[in-house]
Amino acid sequence: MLGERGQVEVIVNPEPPLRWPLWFSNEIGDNEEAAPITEALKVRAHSLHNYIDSNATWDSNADQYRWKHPDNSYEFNSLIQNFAVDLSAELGAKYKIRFVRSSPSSTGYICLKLDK
Amino acid sequence: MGKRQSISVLALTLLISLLGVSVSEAEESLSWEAETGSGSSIFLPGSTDIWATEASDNMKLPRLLAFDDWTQCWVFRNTTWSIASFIGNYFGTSKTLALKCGAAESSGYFHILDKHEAQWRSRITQADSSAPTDAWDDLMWFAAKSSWTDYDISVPQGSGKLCRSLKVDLVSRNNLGLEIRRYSFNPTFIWSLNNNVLITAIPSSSSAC
Repeated sequence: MLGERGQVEVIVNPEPPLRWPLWFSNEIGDNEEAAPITEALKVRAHSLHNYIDSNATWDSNADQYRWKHPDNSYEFNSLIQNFAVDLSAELGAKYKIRFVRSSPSSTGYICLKLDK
Repeated sequence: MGKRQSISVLALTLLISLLGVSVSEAEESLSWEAETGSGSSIFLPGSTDIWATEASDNMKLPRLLAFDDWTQCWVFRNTTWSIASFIGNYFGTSKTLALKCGAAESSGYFHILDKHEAQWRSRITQADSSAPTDAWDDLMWFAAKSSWTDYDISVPQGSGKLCRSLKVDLVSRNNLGLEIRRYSFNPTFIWSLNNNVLITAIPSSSSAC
């Protein structure tokens, strides 16, 4: 599936239990080895998962994750946005990057929304 | 080469050429289906999916959500409405496991729709680039149910979460009925054993459990 102007869409979604957050909308799909990015950026991609692993807890009653600290939502958004900027710079104009953001939730649960 | 051998070679050449024509013509009308457990469970879009079996013969549309499900999920935003369910067995205990409307930010149908719809649809187009992909949610639920009978990997993740994965083969058939294996993937399903619901369904290439 190609996005606007024939771009390949790349979604960044570090949703547990995934260990690799990128999904290319072409034949690469979720194949980490085939992802055309540097090893350094791959390490940063993994760190998005590590951040959630370290800073979120699972509420088994509500079946949702909670951030451990109120600042986690902001930190996560900063982390993933910086990653998306650098990913876009490496991949170039043929790729369109979309990524999830943590929205503020009055209940304290993690609310990851994909940008439109 | 004797006369009899020449005739045999000619007949064989003719047969191969006829078969060649048949196969190439047959491949023009491909469809797709999904198999789990090496063919023990088969999903035929528009035929074995839930909506098709519930609807009348002239309304075989590949949709997981029946009209009342659609109303509850989309109009009333009833997060706890059960779209579909089945009986599963976990260490000798029977459980009624359901797909609920849920919500985009947490679990269930809306969560899968929000995060993984395009990925499930792309699995269908990988099997047949011209096939309609509306049966993506039926394929997802077929594989989710199969993860209770044909799973390859089952990993408790603590706090009542269970991760399961299995191999799903997408195959096509030509109009001779011959099976053409397109590719396989290994979707990952997260179940809540506390609330007996499907949390998420990711059409991953390899298991994420």
